[in-house]
Amino acid sequence: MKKILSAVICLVFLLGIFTACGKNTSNDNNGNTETKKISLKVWGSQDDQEFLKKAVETFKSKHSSVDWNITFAVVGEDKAQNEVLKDVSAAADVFCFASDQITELHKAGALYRITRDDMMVKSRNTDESIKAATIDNNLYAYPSSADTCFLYYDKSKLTEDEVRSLESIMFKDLGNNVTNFAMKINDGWYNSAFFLTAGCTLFGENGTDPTVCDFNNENGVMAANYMIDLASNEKFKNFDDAKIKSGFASGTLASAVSGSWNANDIKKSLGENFGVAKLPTIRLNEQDKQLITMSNFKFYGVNAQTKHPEEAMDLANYLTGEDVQKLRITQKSYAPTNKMLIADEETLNSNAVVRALTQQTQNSVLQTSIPQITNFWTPAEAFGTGVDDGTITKSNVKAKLDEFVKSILSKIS
Amino acid sequence: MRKSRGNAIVYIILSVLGIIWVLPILWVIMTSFRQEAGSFTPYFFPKGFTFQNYINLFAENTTFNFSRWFSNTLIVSVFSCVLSTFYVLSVSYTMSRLRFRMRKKMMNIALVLGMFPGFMSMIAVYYVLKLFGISQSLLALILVYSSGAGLGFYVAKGFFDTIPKSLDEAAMLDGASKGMIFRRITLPMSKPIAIYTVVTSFMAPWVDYIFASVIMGDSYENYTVALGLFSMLEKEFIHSYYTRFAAGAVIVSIPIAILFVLTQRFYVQGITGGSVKG
Repeated sequence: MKKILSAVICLVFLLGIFTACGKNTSNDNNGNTETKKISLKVWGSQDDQEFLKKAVETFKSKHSSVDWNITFAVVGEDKAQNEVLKDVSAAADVFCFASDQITELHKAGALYRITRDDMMVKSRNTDESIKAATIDNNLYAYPSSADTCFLYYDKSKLTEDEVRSLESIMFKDLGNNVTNFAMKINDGWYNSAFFLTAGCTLFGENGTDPTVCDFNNENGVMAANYMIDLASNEKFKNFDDAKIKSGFASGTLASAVSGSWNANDIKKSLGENFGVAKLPTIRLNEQDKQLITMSNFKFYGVNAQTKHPEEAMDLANYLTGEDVQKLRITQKSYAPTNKMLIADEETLNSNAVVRALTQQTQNSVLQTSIPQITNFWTPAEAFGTGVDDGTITKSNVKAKLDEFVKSILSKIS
Repeated sequence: MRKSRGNAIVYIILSVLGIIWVLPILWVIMTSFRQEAGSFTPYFFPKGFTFQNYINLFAENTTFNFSRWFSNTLIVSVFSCVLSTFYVLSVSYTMSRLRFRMRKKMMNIALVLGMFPGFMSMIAVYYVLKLFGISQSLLALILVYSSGAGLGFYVAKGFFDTIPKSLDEAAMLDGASKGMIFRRITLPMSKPIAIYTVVTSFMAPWVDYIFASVIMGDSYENYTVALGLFSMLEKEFIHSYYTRFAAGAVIVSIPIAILFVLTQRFYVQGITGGSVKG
């Protein structure tokens, strides 16, 4: 009795497997015989959905010889790596991802090597973005936009000249309950700026050596001392996004460091007084130095397992081309990677946020894509918190920096 | 005198704890009615109250289709609740009343299996579902939430063990089969544990994030409320959607609260009192 039962169960399972396979193969055949019908899936963030749909409509009209069936789904560029690597075969044909994910995606074989119009892509985008999209001399992604942090300020409290240097921002007396300058000092994305400005490097000159980090050398101590002075100043506050926005809205904040995703909300609350600029200079070792930030790029990649690689490459190429990047500037405030657009003063001046972003990008270091970076964020947060709450002082700063660097460089399994 | 003073201290401590416990809930409810946008406000009480957050939550479904997600979750939780209650009660009754080979061993195996967290098998479950072609569907979610339920029979089995065997024997003498005993005698007397099973299994789909996110992936239409509400908190949306998120959180608690209110009286009902004559 039991034997029969188990045999039946086995049979049911086998049937299930066969039917599942059967379904797949028949789909494949359909796709191959009707060459003119192309189905592609595009992943983008929720925020980009409407924009992508419009852009794809124009793409369709430009390639009208093909019967397109392009579908969209929401997977933001920050989650692309997880979703793609979970199941590459179920991932979208064209997907947006952040540049620091490229090494892992490439290692897992999820990215299609770009073989169509690759010279054109290389020539029209900035060298930095192409360098970030290239692995072993092969291009694996289409640069779409550049991203970093920059300065928001309230024009009724600070003038354009004053926001050029952090010293002049902090010097101004704006009253008791007004914070002159705020940033999230316990976040590696922001506080790394002080170290990078002082001349330190994270993971070597190229940012690819997981055994090197010199945040604890003389320059690092100088940067950390600057942070300690800044944090102990009453006109400075350690604010996250939510507090920055509510600070601008209530008029108790004069300037803050944040990213372009907050632009619309801050613009709404400041109205005419909305001001943006590249980050100010800081005075280190008797010299004014421009703050250098970490930056990354948004890339479009083609799935290595796509059924229609050529069409997928065409689509990704179009979505990152000059026309669409220009639309991104005007509609989404994304900074371009296209050389022509960066040189195009008129377009840049039409959107202050993009101009500030682009200027800051030119003073930035690409966020590394080596996996060792996962060891950076938590120690950087801890260090920033220590600076903010005063447990890190000028007397113990060197020891704390040594500890900081040691945890950054500790081996990841 | 001394006693009443002691009582007063206890009451003060309890009310302080009570206030601390209720505060976050009160805050979420007030945020859901708040007029000003934004996730952080430097003050506790909103400056203006509005019902618009709730209206927008259901009316504006181009970006976030909350009503769709809500009905998805409701469907999943109703079905998985029925299925898992059935599984749990059946397994418990079997383990408590029937005697068969391997019974003890199976109970031990279940105990060991129960020690592993469910999400350990997450990716494997995903690929099995994909093999059958049902990944990214509500059916998959129902199966995932209910199939493992049988393992959690221990509490219900313990409860069944307390029902006197003599009742079963009396029924058997009257010619009842095992199935009839289960339906007519054991179940009516174990309402509290049946209700407990119903409520916990109904709640699971509303609060689970991890399985739903792995199984649903990019299938936005089939998201559950946990996934959907979380996507409102992404950095591009959190400012303008935070009050709506709070409204969603309040709405989610309603079905669970209704179920609890409806079934709560069974919790305290006497169990076997007076059913066996001395």
